[in-house]
Amino acid sequence: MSQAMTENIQTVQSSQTVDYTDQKRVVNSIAMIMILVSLSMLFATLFLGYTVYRVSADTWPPFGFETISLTIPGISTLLVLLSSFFLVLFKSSWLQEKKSSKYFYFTALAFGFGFLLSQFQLWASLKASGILAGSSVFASMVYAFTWIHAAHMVVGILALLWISTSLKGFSEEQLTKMINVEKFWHFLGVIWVIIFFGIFVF
Amino acid sequence: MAFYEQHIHPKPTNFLSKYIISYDHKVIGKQFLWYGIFFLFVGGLMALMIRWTLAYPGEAFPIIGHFLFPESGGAVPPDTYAMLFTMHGTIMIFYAITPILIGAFGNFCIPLMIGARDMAFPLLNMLSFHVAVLSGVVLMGSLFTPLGAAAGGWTSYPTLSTLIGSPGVGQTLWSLAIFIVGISSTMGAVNYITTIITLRAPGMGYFDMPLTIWGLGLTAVLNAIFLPVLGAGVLLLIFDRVFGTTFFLAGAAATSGTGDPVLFQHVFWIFGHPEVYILILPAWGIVSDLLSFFARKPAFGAKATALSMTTITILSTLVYGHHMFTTQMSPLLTQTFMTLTMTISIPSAIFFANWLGTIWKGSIRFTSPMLFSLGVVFVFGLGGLTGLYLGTVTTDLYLHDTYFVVGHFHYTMAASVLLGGFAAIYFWMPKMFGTIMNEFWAKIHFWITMVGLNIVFMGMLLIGYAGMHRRIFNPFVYDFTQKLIPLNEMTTWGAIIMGFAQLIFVVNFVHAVFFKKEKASDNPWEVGTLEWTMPSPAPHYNFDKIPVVKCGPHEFGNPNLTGDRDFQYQTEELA
Repeated sequence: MSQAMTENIQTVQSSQTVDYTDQKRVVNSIAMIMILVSLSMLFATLFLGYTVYRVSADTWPPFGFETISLTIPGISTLLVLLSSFFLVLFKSSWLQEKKSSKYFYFTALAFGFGFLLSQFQLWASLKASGILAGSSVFASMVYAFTWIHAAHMVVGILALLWISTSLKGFSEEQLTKMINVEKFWHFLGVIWVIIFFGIFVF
Repeated sequence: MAFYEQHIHPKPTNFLSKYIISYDHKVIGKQFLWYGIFFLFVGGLMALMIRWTLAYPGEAFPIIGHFLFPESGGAVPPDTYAMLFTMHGTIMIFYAITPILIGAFGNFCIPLMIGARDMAFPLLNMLSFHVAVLSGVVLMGSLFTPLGAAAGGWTSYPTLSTLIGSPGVGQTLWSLAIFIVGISSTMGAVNYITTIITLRAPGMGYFDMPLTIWGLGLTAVLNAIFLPVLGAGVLLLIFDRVFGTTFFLAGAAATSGTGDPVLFQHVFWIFGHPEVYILILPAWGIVSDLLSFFARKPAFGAKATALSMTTITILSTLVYGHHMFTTQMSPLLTQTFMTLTMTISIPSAIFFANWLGTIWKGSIRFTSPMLFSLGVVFVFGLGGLTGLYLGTVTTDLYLHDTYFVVGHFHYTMAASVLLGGFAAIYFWMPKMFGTIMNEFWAKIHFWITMVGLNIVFMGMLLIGYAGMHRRIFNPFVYDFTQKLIPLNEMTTWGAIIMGFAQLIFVVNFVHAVFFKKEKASDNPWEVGTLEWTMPSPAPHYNFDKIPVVKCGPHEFGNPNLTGDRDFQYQTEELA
C-alpha cells in the first residue's frame, strides 16, 4: 500500500473521532457553497448581458431615458445591509444565548421585508414615470435584475422564517441551519449591492 | 476528507414508499432510468418521422401517420417538421441522455462505487427527480397547445424563438421546461459533488475512485456551473415573451428597443459547449472502466485519463465561440476560439491512447458491455475527428449549418452516449435488478445498432459534405440536392434499422426485469469495485459495514492472488 494511502486512512480514522454534527456541517457547507456558485453564475450571466448592452450602446441610458433616481434603490441598499448586519448580531448573541437575540432576529426579518417593499415601490415609481419593461433594453435590464433578485429574496425570507425555530434555544443542528441561511442571505445582499452600483449608480 | 457514518433508511414497505417517493438513491436511479427510456422512445419516434420526411417528402408516415397527421393525409406537415426537430433535440439531450447517464447511473453508481449508504442529501435527490418529471410534463404539454410545440430548433435562437418568430405558447413552455429541468439537474449536481467529496469510503483517495465516478463528478461540476447560465438565458427569453421586455429584439423585427439577438447565442453556447461534455464525460468514465474490466488488465494510465478528463472539463468552458464563427465575430476572436478548440485534441488524444493501451494485449472478454464500450471507442473517434473540421474557421464557414454538423454531433453526443448508456445498462443490470440480460440478444442488439447508427450518421456526414442544409423541410426543392435523394433514403433506412434494433433491447430488458427467474450471482463480471462486494440486487442499505478501501479499482492479475481469481477487490490488501 502506498504511503499516501496509509496517510489517507489515518486522517480518516482521526476525523472519525470528530463529532457527527461537525461532519454534517462541513457537508452542508460544501453543498451551500455549490448552490451559491450556481446562483453566482446566474447573476454573472445577467451582468454579462448588461455589459454587452451597455458597451454596445451609443448613449447610456438610451436616448429618451433619464437615469433612475437613486432614492429608492439607495433605501433598498440600506435596508439589505442593515438586515445582514442584524442577522450577524442575532447569530452572535444567539450563540451566547442572550435573551436579546430574538429582537435582533425580528429586526433582521423586518428589514428583509422592508427591502421587498422598497422593491415594489421601485417598480411602482418606474411605472409612474412611464418606464415599462418593454420601453427599452435599459428598462428591461432594470426590471429583469430586480425581479430575479427579488424572487431570490422571497426564498431568503422564507429561509429566515425557517430558522425562527432556533429562537427556542441553542442546538448544534440549528447552528448548521443558521450558518447556511446566513450565507445565502449575505450572498443576496452582496448581489444587491453589485446591482445597485452596477446599474443604478454608474 | 470529512467522513461520517450515514444513517440507514428504514426498509420501504408499501408501493408508494418503495417506488414513488423513495429516498433511496438506487430507486431514484431506476426512476430516472425508466423516465429516460420513455423519452428515448418519444425522441426516437420523432427522429424516425424527421428521417422519413427527408427521404420521402410528402409521403404518409407508415402505420401511425394517418392517425397523427390526418389533415395532411399522414405526411408530416412543414410546421410540424420544425417542431419535430426542435423537440427531438431537446428531448434527447435534456430528457433522455441526461436522465439515463447522469440521473440513473449517477444516482445508482456514485454511492455504490465510493462505498456510501446513500447520497449526502437523499431528500434533495428525490426532489430532483420529481422536478424533472414536472419539467417533462410541461414539455410534453406544449405539444398539445393551439399552435403546437416550440419550433425554433433545440438552440432556440432569437428571433425564431421570440414572439415574432413563434407566437404560440409552445415556445414559452419550452423555455419554462428547460428552466425547470435546469433546476433539477443543478440539485442533482450539488448532491453528486458533495457526496463524492465527503462520503468516499475510508481509504479511498480521489485516484482510487473508479473513472466512472470521475466522469460523473466532472459532469456534476460543469452542470452546477453552467446550467444557471442557460437558466438566465431562457429566463430572459421568457421575460421577452411574457412581460414584453426587449432583450433579444432588435432591427426591423423589433417594435421598440435596442436588444441583441446574438447575445442569446453567446449565452446559449457558454452553456452549450460545456453541455456537450456534460453528456459525454459520464460515458467516457464508464467506458474507461469497462475497457479495463473486460480486458482483464489495469486501466492504462488511469491517473492520466482522470487528469485529461479534468483538463477537457476546464478547456470546454473556453471554446464556445466555435459554434458562432458565422456570426460576424471578429477574426481575432475566431482564431482564438479555434486555437483553444484544437487544444482539446491533446487531452482527448491522451485518454484515447490510454483506452487503446488498456486493451492492448489484454485477455479481452467480448461480453455485451465490452462490445458497447468498444463501439464507443470507434464512434467517438469518428465524432472527434470530424469535429476538427468544424472547429477550424476556414472549413466551418463551408460546413456550418449543413448535415455535416448534424452527423458530427450525433456521432459524439448521440452514438457515443447511447452506446455508453447501453454498456452501463448491460453491465450494472445485475446490481440494479438482480438479473442478467440475455447475452446472445444483447450482442445481436449491439451489432444491428452499430450497423444502423453508422449508416445514419455516416450518411449525414456525406449529405452534409455535399452541401445539404439542416432544418429544411424539403431540401429537394433545390436542384443540387436532387442527387442526394438516394443517400437520404439510405440514411433513413439506417435509422429504421437502428430503431427496430432497440425493440430487441426493450424485450430483453423488460424480460430481465420482470420475468426472468434466474438470479444473477453477486459478481457475474468478476470485477473488484465496491458495488460487486454486495449481494445482487443491491440491498436497500447498500453496505452492512462501510468498506475500507485498500487498492484502486482496476487491479487485475496480481501474482499474489490465490485461487483462479484474476481480479482483486478494492477492499483486499495484497503485497
